Amino acid sequence: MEALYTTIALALPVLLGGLWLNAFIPAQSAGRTALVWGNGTLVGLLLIPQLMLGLDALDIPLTFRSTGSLVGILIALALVVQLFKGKRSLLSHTPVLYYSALPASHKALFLFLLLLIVLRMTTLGLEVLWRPLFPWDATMHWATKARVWYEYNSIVPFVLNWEWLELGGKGVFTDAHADYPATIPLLQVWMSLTLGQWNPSLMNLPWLLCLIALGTAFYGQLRVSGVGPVIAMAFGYLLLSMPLLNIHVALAGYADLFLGAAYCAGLMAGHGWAKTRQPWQAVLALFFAISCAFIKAEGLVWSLTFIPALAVTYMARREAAKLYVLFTLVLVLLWLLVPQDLVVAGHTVETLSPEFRPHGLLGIVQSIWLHDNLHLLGYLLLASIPLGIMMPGAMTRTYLEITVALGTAVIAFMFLFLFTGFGVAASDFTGVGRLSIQLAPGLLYLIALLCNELLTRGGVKAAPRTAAQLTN
Amino acid sequence: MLRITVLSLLLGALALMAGLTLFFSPPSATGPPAHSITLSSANTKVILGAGTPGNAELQLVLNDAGLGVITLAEKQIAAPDYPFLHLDIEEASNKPLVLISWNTGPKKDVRHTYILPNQTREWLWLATNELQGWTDNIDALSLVIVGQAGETVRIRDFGIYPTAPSRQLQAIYSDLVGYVSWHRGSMNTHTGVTPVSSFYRTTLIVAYLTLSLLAYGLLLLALRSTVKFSWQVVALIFLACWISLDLFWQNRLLHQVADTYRTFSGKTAQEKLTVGPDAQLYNFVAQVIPLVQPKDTRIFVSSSDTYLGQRGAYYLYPFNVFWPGPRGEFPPDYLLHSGDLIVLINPTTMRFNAATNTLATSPNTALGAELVFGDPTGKVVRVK
Repeated sequence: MEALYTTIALALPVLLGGLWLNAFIPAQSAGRTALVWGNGTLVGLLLIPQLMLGLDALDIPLTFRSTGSLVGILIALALVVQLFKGKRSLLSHTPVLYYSALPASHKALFLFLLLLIVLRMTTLGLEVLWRPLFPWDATMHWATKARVWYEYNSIVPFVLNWEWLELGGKGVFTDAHADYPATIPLLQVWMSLTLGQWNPSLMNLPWLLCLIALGTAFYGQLRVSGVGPVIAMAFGYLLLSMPLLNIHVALAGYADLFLGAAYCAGLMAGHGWAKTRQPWQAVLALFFAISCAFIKAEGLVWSLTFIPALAVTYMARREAAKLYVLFTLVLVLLWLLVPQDLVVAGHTVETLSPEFRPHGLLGIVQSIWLHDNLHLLGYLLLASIPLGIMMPGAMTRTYLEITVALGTAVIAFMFLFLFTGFGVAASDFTGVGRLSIQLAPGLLYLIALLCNELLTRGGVKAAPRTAAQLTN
Repeated sequence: MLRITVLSLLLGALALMAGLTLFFSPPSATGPPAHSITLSSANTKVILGAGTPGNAELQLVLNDAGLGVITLAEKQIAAPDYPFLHLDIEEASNKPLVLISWNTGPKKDVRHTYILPNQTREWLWLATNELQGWTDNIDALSLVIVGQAGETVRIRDFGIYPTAPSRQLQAIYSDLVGYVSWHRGSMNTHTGVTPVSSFYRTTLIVAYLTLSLLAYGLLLLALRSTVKFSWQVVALIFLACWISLDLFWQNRLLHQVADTYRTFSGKTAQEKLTVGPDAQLYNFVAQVIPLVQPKDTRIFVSSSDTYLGQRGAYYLYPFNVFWPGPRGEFPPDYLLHSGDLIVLINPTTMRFNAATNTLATSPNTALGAELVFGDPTGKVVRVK
């Protein structure tokens, strides 16, 4: 029965997101299956906790019956919408290069890479199945909430230590970070409710699902952007093989993987929308961009990086640049004026006070270019920057939106570790690696697009103005 | 395209091996070449445990305390003469702890020890210059095995060797396939190396990538009439290097999953916790849980060890637990109420005095309390 309940717990988020996307993603999109089920699974995984928050707000006890019913209704509704829409799906203009049309050597490489991915996911899956919750922060401030909420069938409040002492612990609980978002613990509650027991191994299976979904969505979005199956699969493999991403599945319990997946999915959809203006991509981008803020404190910063990207989509580049500079100045001004104890993205302004921390730089360099956290991504990034600059129009036109979003995120990342008290988390490697996996999938997506240009066009030539031009 | 890619990769591999052995060989003594010292009846002596050293292998039976010690070189040797150490121990089902130790210093009384990580005993080449304390003259080089009383461990080789390119390459390969179990810092960074690795894996593979690309460039120059530059070749070389690096990672994951299987498979959720890394702590908490009455009792956790404190608190949820956090302070006495439970996980600065039934919460303060439960892991007291 445990296997059945586990399957149900994992299948429902897949169906919830997948069936809704299936109703809206055009029928002839390249890599459609991957797009639907990859993005759909991520949507489902992030949506179910929000539905639980909604149920709790309505004073409905969190049980499998209540949550499962709501999820079931939404799934049924998605099926009805699909029946209603019938074959009236919008047609995509992206030409489809099917796997069957590939030469034998490409097929062999495609299958070899797929095999490596399957081997990796199986290894990670077994690790999750057997090992009970292990990592430090997971038991310090994520699973603590899940344990209590599951037991009480309700999102009973967690408050800061001093507040708990003031209230004498009456009707409130506390842990090391009572103010962290509820999404991740609620996913563990969802698993536990469906399983009917608190199981510190099986409740972590959504982490495996999240990585598989990210890889699938990554492949799908590359395909819909005009990348061929082999290159898309190769980059999918690069993504899914990064050790620190793998570790965050094998030793599940942290929020960083989900944040990295949501941010990357948002960037990919945002890029897709900027190029094709298909509404489903806009909805996905918006959903994932907002989700970031509900996964982890720093997710708010990643959410905000979509704003400059949106600005360059709608405004002339010169105007957008002016706005960007103005926004930076406003930030600096705010920094000087706001009270030092004001909390931003989970941290006080005082702890974020700017002062150059050279030790942070060494930590970043070691973590990205010396340690095996991301395999060779750091070197690929180094090679891609001149590539992007040399390819006329790539970073300034074709991939401007995603470049601006990622550039802003990288600036925020560097600022955090080079100019704030968090430099310590870079020099002792406690924070820099984890934050880098939040950005790595998105960066790899941009690199994949640039490399595709290089490989398919045979050199550093002018990039096409839009993906539509590339594919027509 | 495939042919030139493979050729570039092969040339790159050859260039890498040549470069490593020519420019990065470990420093060695300048005198005449030393002879290898290997496991044999002449060189080896069993100090603890039982066994007769032969020339092929030694079957060491651990003593009643589960200890086995053999010395390889009782006499003094010059450490730089022996830049490589080889170990080959047959894998046992219950993995014993394996250490290498030796003495240095003018009086030969400074003891150095290196604990071998899991899974690397069957075929291990160590670059000894990476071992802390492998300098000057050393003696009493020993292999220490800690396992179960009466357990037999087959040692097929334990030897030290002078420098040779093949041994250096084997030591590097040994590093690459080395394995260290998950640890508390695993979530933060994956260095890919052990404390005695000579090179970072990433650096080695980047060198391989660079040399392969260089080889491709040279091949283009040599075959310029027939072969033209292709970005696809560059991409394939890069992908091959990534896969090479990733296969070492996959190998490590497979070792880990085998370890995880041995520890946890077939057990219930509760049983897993009783054999996991926090087994002792969990077993303590499991005995505390039935004693918590009523269920809404406030539980305060105190420990000087941040990890044990937070982990102990976690196992106590869904009770209403207060743990001050890594930088927090235990609440002052006036905030504690009668009936509150205080869980003291060792090590802790708080002392319970059974004679006076008081708990010293600080050097100057004490409050009335009664002992509810105690074992070597910690104590639970109830505030009076």
